[in-house]
Formats: sequence, structure tokens, C-alpha cells
Amino acid sequence: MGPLAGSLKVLSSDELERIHQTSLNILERTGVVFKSQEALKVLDRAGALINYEKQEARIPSQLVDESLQSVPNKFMLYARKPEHDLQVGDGGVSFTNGFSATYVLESLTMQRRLARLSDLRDFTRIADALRCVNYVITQCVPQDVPKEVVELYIAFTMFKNTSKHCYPATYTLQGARDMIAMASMLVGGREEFMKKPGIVNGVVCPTSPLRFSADATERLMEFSGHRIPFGIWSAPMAGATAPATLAGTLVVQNVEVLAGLVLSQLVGSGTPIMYGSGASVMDMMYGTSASGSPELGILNVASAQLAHYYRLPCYGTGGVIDSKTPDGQAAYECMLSNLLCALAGVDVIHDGVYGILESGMTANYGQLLISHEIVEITSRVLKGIHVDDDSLAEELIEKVGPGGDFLRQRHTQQSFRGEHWIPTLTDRSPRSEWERLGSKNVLRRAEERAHEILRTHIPEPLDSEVQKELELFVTKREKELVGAA
Amino acid sequence: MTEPREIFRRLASTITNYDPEAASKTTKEALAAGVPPIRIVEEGLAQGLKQVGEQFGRHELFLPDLVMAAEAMKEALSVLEPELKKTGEKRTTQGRVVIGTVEGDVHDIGKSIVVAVLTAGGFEVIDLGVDVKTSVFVEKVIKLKPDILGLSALLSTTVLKQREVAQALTDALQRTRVKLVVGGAAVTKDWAEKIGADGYAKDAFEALKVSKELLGK
Repeated sequence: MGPLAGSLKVLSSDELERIHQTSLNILERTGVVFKSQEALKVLDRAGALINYEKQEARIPSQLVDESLQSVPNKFMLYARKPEHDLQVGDGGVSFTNGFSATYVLESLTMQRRLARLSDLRDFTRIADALRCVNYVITQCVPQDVPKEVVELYIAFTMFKNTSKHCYPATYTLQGARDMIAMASMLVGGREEFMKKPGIVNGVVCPTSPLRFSADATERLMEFSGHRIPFGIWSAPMAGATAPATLAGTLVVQNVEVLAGLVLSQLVGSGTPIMYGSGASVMDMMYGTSASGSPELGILNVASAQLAHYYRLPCYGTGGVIDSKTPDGQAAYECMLSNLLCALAGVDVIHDGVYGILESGMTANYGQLLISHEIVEITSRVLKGIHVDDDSLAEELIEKVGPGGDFLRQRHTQQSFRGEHWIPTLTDRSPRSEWERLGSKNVLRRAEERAHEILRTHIPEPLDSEVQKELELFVTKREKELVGAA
Repeated sequence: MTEPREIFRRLASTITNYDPEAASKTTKEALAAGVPPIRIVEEGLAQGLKQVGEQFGRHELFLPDLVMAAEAMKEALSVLEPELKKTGEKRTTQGRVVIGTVEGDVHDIGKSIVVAVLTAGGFEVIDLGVDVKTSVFVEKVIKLKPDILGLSALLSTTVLKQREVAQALTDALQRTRVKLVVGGAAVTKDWAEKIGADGYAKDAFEALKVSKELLGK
């Protein structure tokens, strides 16, 4: 995406080496808990030391080395519309929208209410329209749908409302299986899906410190069995689920990601894995996760370095916000981590175009557009400064001379579009123009833009046969799951 | 003479292509083909400029585009003006504006933007440039009989020259014959009122709005 991606580093190569070595020591001596007998058996057969009673696996460094050999360092994420296909790991930086809010903060009233299925539809449609959302993830979890079937509805709603690559959230093994069945319909059957499992991706989160829950482990194995690309997204909180020190927190994260990586490659050799980080610190006053913290930003820079040390794409966290309203705090939190992640060369910045407040709790339409603007700005920064004969403009400067006017030069007209970021939401108009348009602050303008997109943007519809097939599947599964309850 | 639709379209496209050479060349061709000068402007060139202005208004085009379109227009008009004089025809415009930066002040960019915006907005604009002596403003008002005189000043020291020009116009009995509009970074509404200006424009967009209002458009 830009020459500055990867230019920012916070760890020296010696420091990376020490984190790596410490992680191997922990993996080998302390190990990691997998709450799945099946996973433990797989690891056992491969040579890990297993304590079945404690569900602990001690993993020798040789297994780590082998898994790093088989995991690809780049891969494709496919979209319903091929123009949105995305390569991950080629040095570019991609962004997603925000993930998994429970509430929605209403635009005008600023009242918080539970997220609805219609919100997921609308957020997905807006994300489909936004240029800087490279693929779409589950912005909110509908609370007006029974828990037993929510994964079905999430997948169906997202497949319908974006033709970009998407990651429909799953929380259980059954949910993941249903989602895979539905994704198969999208590409024309099981066989096709096995050829193109990158039509969806997944995320598996360890439970820090050093544990994988039953659901996480089972989903990890299910994704790996299908060679579905996924992120192992570790999010230790320094001072609570990891040491207070950032280096120690990186070790905990690194152990978790490497352990997950080993299991994934044992189950499905060659499954594309993204090195995921959501590491942050705990707020020592309130015990909350400080997602918008500067520490999250630099932990992500370090994570990009660690991921690239292992030649893995990095699935980092940028754009996240602790503020409860779309205010100044929200803007600076969102900007900081996006910019740090991008300069570090995080391959996929999940949450970049965030649109969620309150550490992941509450989605807001205006904030989504503001976050998008922040990502646009970040993308311009990444492009850096291009130096060649034309951009140095020596002849032009001589021609125009002291006191001259560069605005009236063809060179200006020909080069400004490529050089200058042209804002669409940010206001730089003269006061008179700003007043004429109603003296609106950025939040008002962002909300209006969101509503305009919903009025005018129609995502590429699903093939009608596929839509029918998906509908039948959801109806059938709903009967089985809710009917049986 | 055949119906010159094609030539009008071509004239307009020289402006929308921001091409001063083509604008002047095509204008000469049109004159040679016997197209009346007034129709060359109004049905040809001005249509192109109007299109650029509208796209600028919709934020599809930007200042460098607007300025370059105005430059192409200027080039074509330099060919046409002697012909227009010969026929005695008058272009229908929103009005005639004479504009310049006052003596002692060499700031050009803001004024260039005003010129481009006014030109695209349908005004005939005569730009006297920068560091213009007070006496020159008075001469030009007498000679060119503009509807509006625009005075730009960016420095707090040079704004005083705006008052000097206003006074010189009064002394030459020209003050009531022209609407005086002042602007520039150092100029405030209070100052404009204090020196008895007819209008105050903080920026190019206000300049267009104020100019239209003053002429009852």
C-alpha cells in the first residue's frame, strides 16, 4: 500500500530474539492448556508432553519450527465479487470495520440500545460501500435473534449485504460448521469450497494467560481441517492476564499464538494463519481493558515485528476506542493505533474502520464514518513522499520564480490529485461556507453521510438460487436448533 | 454558413480540457468560419466554463482545475476581445469586476482563487495583478466602468491602502459609480464598514455571493 508500511519498529532484532527464546522456554516448560481431549491427542501424537488431567500441552521447539515451515507466508482472501479479492502478506496494509458490538448508540438521541439484526445489515451495507474497508467483519451481534441461531443469521445477513470478503463471527463449533456450510453454498458446493476455503476467514481467541477454551480449540481445529485462513488473536491485558510489563505481555501473547499455530498445522498442514494481537493494558483504576491506550499501539507495532520475524502476516488491532461517545477522545484513540499499526506494516488492521465505542461494546454509525476518514488519512501517510525529477519540479520552480503563482501551473493541476489527500468528511472550508451548510461538526456530517450511504448504496445482490438455498438452510437449522430446545 | 453546433461543442471542450492553446486556436477557426464573436463566447466557451464551475460546485473538480479553465478562457478572450469591440457587441455576463491587490502587497494566490471563482460564476473579471497603485485603480474604474471593484489586502499594514483607494475614488467623483468590495486575510467586516465599502468578502465563495447580491442577481 505504501512505502512507509513497516518503517516503524519498537524492538531491536536482539530483543525479538529474546522474546522468541523466552516464548520457547515457556512453551516447553510450562505449556498451554487446550480444553479439548482431541487437540491434546493430536499434540501428543506429534511429540508434545501432555498432562491429560490438567489438559496441558508442553510443546517442544522442534514442533514450533516444523509448523513455521508449513504455514504459508501469504494467502488469498476471496470475495463474492472478484474485484474485492485480497492478498494478505504481500507487504500491503488492509483494514476491516469494527467487530462484535452488543449495543448501538443512536445517532440523534445519543441513547444506547441493544443491537438489532437490522443494525448488522446496515453496518455491513455501509462497510460494503466504504473504500477503505478491504473486507467486512461482524460489526455487531444482533440481540433480537435467539442465541441458538444467531451465528446463522449473522452469516446470512453478511453474505447478503456485502460482495466483499467477509468474516461472519462464530462462537461455537456448531456455529462454525453452519457458517462453513453456508459459505460452501456461496461458492457452489462443498467441493468448490475445499478448493477455495479463503472465501471466509475466522478468528480464534485464546483465553489469556496460556489457555484455549473448548470452543476456541474446536473452532481452531474445524478451520484448520478445512484450510480456512484464520487469525489467532491473542489479547492479554498487561497487569491482569499477563505481566504488567509490555515485554512479558508479548511473551504471553507469543506463546499463545505459537501454540495455536502448532495445533493448526498438525490438523491441517498449510492452513494460512495470521499472527493476531489485541494485547493491551488493564486500566489500574477501574480494571477495564484500555483498548485506546498508547500501549496497545506499541504492542501492535511489536506484534507486527514478531509476526514478520516468523514470516507470518500480522492481524493487528487498530482504531479501537474506549470513549463512550464519538468525541475528541474517540478520535485520538482511533487515530493513534491505526497510524502506529499502519506504519508498523500490520498486514490486516482489524477494527481500523472501527465505528465502535466503549472498548468494543457500542457501535455508532457516525463513528464508523469518522473512523473511515482516519483510515483514509493513515493511508495517505503510508504513501510517504515520492522523490523524482517530476516531483522535485526544478524547471517549474525556475519558471515560476520568486513571487510567482504555482496554482496557475499545469504541473499543479496534473500532480495534486496523486500527492494530496482530498478529504470528503473533514472540514477545511472557509467559515462562511461552513455556516451556510449549517455549522455542523464532524459527527453530524458523519451521521448524514452514513444515512446517505444507506439511502443510495445497494450491495451486489446474491444469486437468486444461492439466496434461496441459504434461506432454506437457515429455516431448516432454525427448526432443528430452536424447535428442539 | 452551416449550423455551427460542432464548433460550439469544440469551443466548450477546449475549456473543459483546460487547454489554452486549443482555446485560442479554435476561437480563431470559429472567427474565420464567420461565427459571430458573441456566439463564440456565449454558446461555446462560456458553456464549457459553466460546466467546470458546476462540477467544482459539486466537489468533483478542484481549484487547480477551475484556475486552469479560467486561464484557457482568458486566452480565448484575448483573441475575441478586439473582434467584440469591432462589432460593438456586449457579452451578457453577471457583471464586470476589476480586481487587484493593493500597493505594497504582493499576495497573489487568494486573489487568483477569487478571479477563478468569479469567472466560473459568470462574471467578466479584469485582474490588475498585485502591488497596484491607488491611482491605477482610479484610472481603471474610469476607463473600464466596472460594476464592482475588488480590493485585496493580506497584511495589516496594507489594508490602509484600501481606505486610500476608497478616498481617491470619492475625490475623483467615481465612488458612487462602482460597488467597492474588500477582502483578504487582514480585512474584517468592521474595517469594511469603517472605510465605507459596499461589500466584504472573507473568501472566494463569499466574493461570488456578495458580488451577485450587490448587483441584484
